[in-house]
Amino acid sequence: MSQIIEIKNVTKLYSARSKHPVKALNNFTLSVAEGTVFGLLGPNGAGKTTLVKALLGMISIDGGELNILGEKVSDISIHTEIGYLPENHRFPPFMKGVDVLMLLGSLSGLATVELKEKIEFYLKKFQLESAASRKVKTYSKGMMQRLGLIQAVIHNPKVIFLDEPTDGVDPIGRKAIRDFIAELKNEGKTIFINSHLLSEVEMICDRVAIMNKGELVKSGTIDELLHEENSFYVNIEDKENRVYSIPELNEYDVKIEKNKITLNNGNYETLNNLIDILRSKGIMVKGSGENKVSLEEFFIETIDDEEESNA
Amino acid sequence: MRNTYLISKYAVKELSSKKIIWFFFGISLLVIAILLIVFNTLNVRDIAPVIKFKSRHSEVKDAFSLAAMFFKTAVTVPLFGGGLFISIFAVSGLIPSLLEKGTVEFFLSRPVKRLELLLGEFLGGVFVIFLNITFLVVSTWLIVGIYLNDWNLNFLLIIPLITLAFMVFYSLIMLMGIKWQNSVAAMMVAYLIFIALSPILHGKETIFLFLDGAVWKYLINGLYYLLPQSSDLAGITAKISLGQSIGSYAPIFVGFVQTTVYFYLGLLLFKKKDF
Repeated sequence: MSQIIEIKNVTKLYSARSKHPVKALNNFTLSVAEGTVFGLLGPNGAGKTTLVKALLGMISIDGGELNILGEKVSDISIHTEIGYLPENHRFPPFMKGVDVLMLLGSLSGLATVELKEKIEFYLKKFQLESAASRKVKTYSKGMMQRLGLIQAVIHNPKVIFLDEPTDGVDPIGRKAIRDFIAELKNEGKTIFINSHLLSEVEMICDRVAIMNKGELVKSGTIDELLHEENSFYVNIEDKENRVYSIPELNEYDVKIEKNKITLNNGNYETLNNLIDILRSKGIMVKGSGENKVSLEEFFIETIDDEEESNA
Repeated sequence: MRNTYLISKYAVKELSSKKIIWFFFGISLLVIAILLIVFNTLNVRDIAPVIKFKSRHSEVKDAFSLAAMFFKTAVTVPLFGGGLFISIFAVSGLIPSLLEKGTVEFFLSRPVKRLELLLGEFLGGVFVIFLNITFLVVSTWLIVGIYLNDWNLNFLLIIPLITLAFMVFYSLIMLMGIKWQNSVAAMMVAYLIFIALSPILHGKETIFLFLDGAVWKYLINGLYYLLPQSSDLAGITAKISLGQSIGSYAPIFVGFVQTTVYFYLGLLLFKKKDF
């Protein structure tokens, strides 16, 4: 797959002329492949929004190179292929929902007839038809977010940046947004998500990167990052607690809990051997697999490690 | 061009949503209504001598010309002062609201040049104010023409003249709006220039009588050419209303130069600004 977004050694300094400039991005390098749902994670002030805004040409950089679809981001013609949902966005309050979409769609280069068709389609899809002729200042947070998503995709862009897409949205709305992102992925779009809602990111994204203090800390697929190396689990049904009296288990690095055995320093062969022992003792095995941490646990651990190593 | 047009429409829509613009329009309607009432109830020949008594212009011959001059001046001079005052108030928030965090991103993430964005906002604002000025001036010209048979086309020059005065202030307000992103600060500086500095600098020759010295001259002349010359433009407006020759065109030329320079500086700032 080709790389749609390429970030090479990018540095951004705030207050560059002062004695103490702040490095918002420090020699940051990352690439995102076509058709990926990519999640960028990091604590507040890590530089996530700075990176996205630099990719959109809204802020200048002090070094490095930024390319989208093989073109430098300073070339604004590529913006026809880019959609963006800003964080904490604010639509002009004096405009009606439909007028906002007409304006932003027209600015993206869509012809009026095509744009009207698309607006009708998306308003229906996002259940905003009845609110379309109302001024946006009367919209709820969830409605604003849906309108924001529509404006980000209405011109059928190849790359979509979503900054906190599920922020302030109720669980049903969040699921609808997740489903919509999955639809976009199936259409081959590349989606770049900034979010604090790690559980959402875990559900949506194929790959994630964690950044802290303007630097890339870790990146990879969700599976690569979240699996615990050489650690497996076996779920069992053992009402009579027979598992505690199996001497063969002492040969393995195991931790026995109620109805669950954790195998450390193992592999798939030792996992199979362990299951054979349990079954030979008449203990029902209900499930097994590699142990994984949640993205939230992984994120906190990664940031803590990073802070400690910097201290 | 299309993007500039779309942004202009957006600016027109934003201005139209402001009560102050409708207040301006309402005042214009009121002035027109008063003119119509006056012309329908008073015999102009009766009031002409009163006007003549106050007029010091020898070229005015008949009562009708005198009355026409009176009514035109009575409309245009307050229009210059009041209209500009209201217009400055109306447009001072345009740029700060466009550049507000959470809004500007929608525009900058699209294939729109920053020049198009700024030019669109500028043209949209100028268009709305131009319409308001044109409505009042043309209405006055028509009423005075119909009732007093005075169809002097030169009077209509007041439209581009007041629009130019507005453009100078608007481009300055844009520059300040981009720099500070604060509508109140931009408005206050514009008012300070309009109400205080420009009238003072208009009388710079008198100031030189009291402040002698090359440094003072450089300073005051510098400020005079740096800041909007609204009082000079107001003087030209009054002359046109009185049917006099304009005299010096320099303030008009300076107005165009200032508008261009303020706009260009605003654009430079806007292009360099991170959002």
